[in-house]
Amino acid sequence: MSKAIDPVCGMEVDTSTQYKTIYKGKVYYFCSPMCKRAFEANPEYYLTHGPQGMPHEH
Amino acid sequence: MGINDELSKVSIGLRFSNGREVHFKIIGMHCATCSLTVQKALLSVNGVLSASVSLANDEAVVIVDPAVFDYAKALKAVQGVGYDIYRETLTFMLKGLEPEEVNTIVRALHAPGVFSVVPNPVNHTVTITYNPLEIDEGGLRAIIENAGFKVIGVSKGGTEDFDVDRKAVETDLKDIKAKLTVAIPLTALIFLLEALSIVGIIPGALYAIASFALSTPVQFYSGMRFIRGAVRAFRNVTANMDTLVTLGTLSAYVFSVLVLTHVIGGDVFFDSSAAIITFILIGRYLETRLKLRVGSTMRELARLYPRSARVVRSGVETLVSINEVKPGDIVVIKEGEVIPVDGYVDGGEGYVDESVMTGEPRPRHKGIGDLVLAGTILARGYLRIKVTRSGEYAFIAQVIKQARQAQSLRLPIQSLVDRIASYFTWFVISAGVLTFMAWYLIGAPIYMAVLHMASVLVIACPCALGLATPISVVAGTNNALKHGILIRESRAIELSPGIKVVAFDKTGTLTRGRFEVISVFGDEKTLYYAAIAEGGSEHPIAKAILERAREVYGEVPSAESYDSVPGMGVITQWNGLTIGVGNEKLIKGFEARINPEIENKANDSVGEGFTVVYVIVNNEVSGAIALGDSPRPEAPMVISELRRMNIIPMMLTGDNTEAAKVVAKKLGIDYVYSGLMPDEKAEVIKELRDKFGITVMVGDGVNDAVALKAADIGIAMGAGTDIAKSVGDVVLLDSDLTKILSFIKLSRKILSNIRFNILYAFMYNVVLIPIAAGAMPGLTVRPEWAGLAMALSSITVTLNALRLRYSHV
Repeated sequence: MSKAIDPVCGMEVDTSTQYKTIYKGKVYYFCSPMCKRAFEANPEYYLTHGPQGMPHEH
Repeated sequence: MGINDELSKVSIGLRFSNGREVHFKIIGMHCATCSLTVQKALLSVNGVLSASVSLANDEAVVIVDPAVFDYAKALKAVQGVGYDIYRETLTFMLKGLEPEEVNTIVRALHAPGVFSVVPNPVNHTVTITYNPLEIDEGGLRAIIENAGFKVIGVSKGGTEDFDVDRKAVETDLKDIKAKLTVAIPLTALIFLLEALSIVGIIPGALYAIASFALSTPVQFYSGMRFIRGAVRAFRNVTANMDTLVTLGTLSAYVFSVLVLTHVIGGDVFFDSSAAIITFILIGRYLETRLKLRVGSTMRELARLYPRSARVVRSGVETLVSINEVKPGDIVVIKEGEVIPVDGYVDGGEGYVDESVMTGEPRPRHKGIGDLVLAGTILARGYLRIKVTRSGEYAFIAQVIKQARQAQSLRLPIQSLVDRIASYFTWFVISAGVLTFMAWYLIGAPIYMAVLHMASVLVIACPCALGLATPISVVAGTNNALKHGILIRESRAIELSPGIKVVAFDKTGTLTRGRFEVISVFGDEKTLYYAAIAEGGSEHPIAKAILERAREVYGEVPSAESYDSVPGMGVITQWNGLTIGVGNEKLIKGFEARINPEIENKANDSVGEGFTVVYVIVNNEVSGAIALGDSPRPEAPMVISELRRMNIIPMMLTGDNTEAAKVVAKKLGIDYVYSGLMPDEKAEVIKELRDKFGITVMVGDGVNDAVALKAADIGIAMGAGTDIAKSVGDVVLLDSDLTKILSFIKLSRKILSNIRFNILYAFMYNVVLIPIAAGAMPGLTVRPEWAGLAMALSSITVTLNALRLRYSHV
């Protein structure tokens, strides 16, 4: 099983995770639905600033 | 001694002076609400005085009033609230069960613990469903034997003894043969001596003594079947065909003995009594042989069912008994072998002859992932099968079990005929006595009176009357089975001439229930790229794309990497290209460009009710693929044929209106009800019944269960499913819609066959009884010819039913 880095929180995740999305033709993997939602809301922010830790949803 | 000790000795309980305690095992309970529901259901049954249901041991303890409590009603009440009572079923093979004895055995078995009794006079069996907590095989056997029947075997309905009916009938045949080996030569000898005495070669007195000596073994050995049957009927205060044969032959025999001993004057006619027995036995023999043919489809199925399988255990192929095969085992099948289990192809490929299930002679191709069924034959190739069901759980085993039950279906007309048949014998006995009196009173010699009485007794045939309906049902249901139609409820046959509406479920019934590529637009390599990307997916859409691509390109290469993103699609790498297949979200994810022409065509396809996937290659949408669940090829023909029969075809579906209308338009269905939940389908069915009349629902036996139950006739598409769990009065074993037409035609044939049989049996008796009585001037029938006529009448009824067995629908 290959590993990837969650672009939102920086955790190492399995590529078999169900939380994935495609952005600009590349697949990104997440540890949780929260990270996935945060990324989809603003992908460019995370790709330019790097991981920011777990997002807090209110 | 304290007050508490005193109190502890006091037991308080409800006592019912006339109550009996009954225990049932309840199936399907998992919470306190369940037990309350079951308790309420039981309390609603007439004759239940109290009921307590324990969740702990799944048991209901019911106090019942034996005078009014009905087990079948209790079962119905529990099933009605969604649970079940554990019950077991046994089939007893009897040494003889005549149609007129059906009521006797049903009455005898109306005993505590018995849910249902299904007698089958065609193959001499009685199938009993009972409560094992109350009565067991020994108890049931005792009841049957006390009623005067002889049990020659018991079947539990497993796979081991599929052929119980044959055994029962063959035992009977053996007995008849033994009786005939005595009866035929002795009777022939009597006739030879009679001829010699007529031409004066031997004196009359010698012939009288010789015929007495020769006819006695025939009367009391060969005729013992009839005497025993008559005694059994007499003990049960009824009369049957055996009573008539016994009275007829004994009156001729006893009269002749009295003549021989000079008690009365006249001629002996030992020849008549011997000939009657011989003719009727010959008739019985032929009839029994024919009966075996009538129900042969089921036995052919049973014979096909292998008893062993080649299982791979620790890498080695071992031959094991079918009962040791477990789900998950790998079974190896070689060319020409019968497949012993249900399962999916795990390796190899081949062509499988499924004609036993479907009547379709051409073998079907089976590759990895395809379902194969036990009882079908691997015509070519080699298969490794991963077992899903085996033994008595296999599809064919369920079919055989249900087909056996189908053979004993009772049509409402039969109850009427049975009632008539039970009085009929008494009527004939009275007619016999009246005939004797009439001849005696007009001064005819006593021997004439006896002769006519014997003729009347022997010519009347309640047997043909009693056999008329069941034999047609057996023949008809067997023919249906040959065409892959399992008829499970008699009302399906009975109501079919009046069908007004046939309502179809859409997905999986009118359509194949699986995706197919309808059209591809965009770049010419779109399908090729899509197939490469979808190679690793198990999704139905992926399978459809791969199937079409293999047809077009043959082999499709595998992608180097594969990733599926839920809600979007798949993304893969191949030969330096990034290929994605998915929905609009995937286009967004790729930020891919899409050419307006492709976009417009895709939108049009969505509007027509198709599912569209886009194929993206390196950030450019190369094309799109429209997929749909296409109608079954035979559907348009079936719909137009129904219209021709003045039956209104309709569609009931849970799908959206657009998708439903597209299919309905293609097939020529005007009435469409879409967006329905399963229980709403049942509501629609009820409305249709009120508005139009007899309504048929055709659907999947599991998902459409509620609607199928609500319809007058529920037809379930059963290809390879768990038919034991599926509802439906009729199951189409191969999901071929044309079988609906076959079923309607066949039901009509069964009904007209029954009508002919009943009418014939009645007319035969109405015409021949007066002739036998000598009421028609110038016409007399000697008793032996009367016996022959009687034997022929049963054979005629059987032969007529056999026509049904081979008729084409």
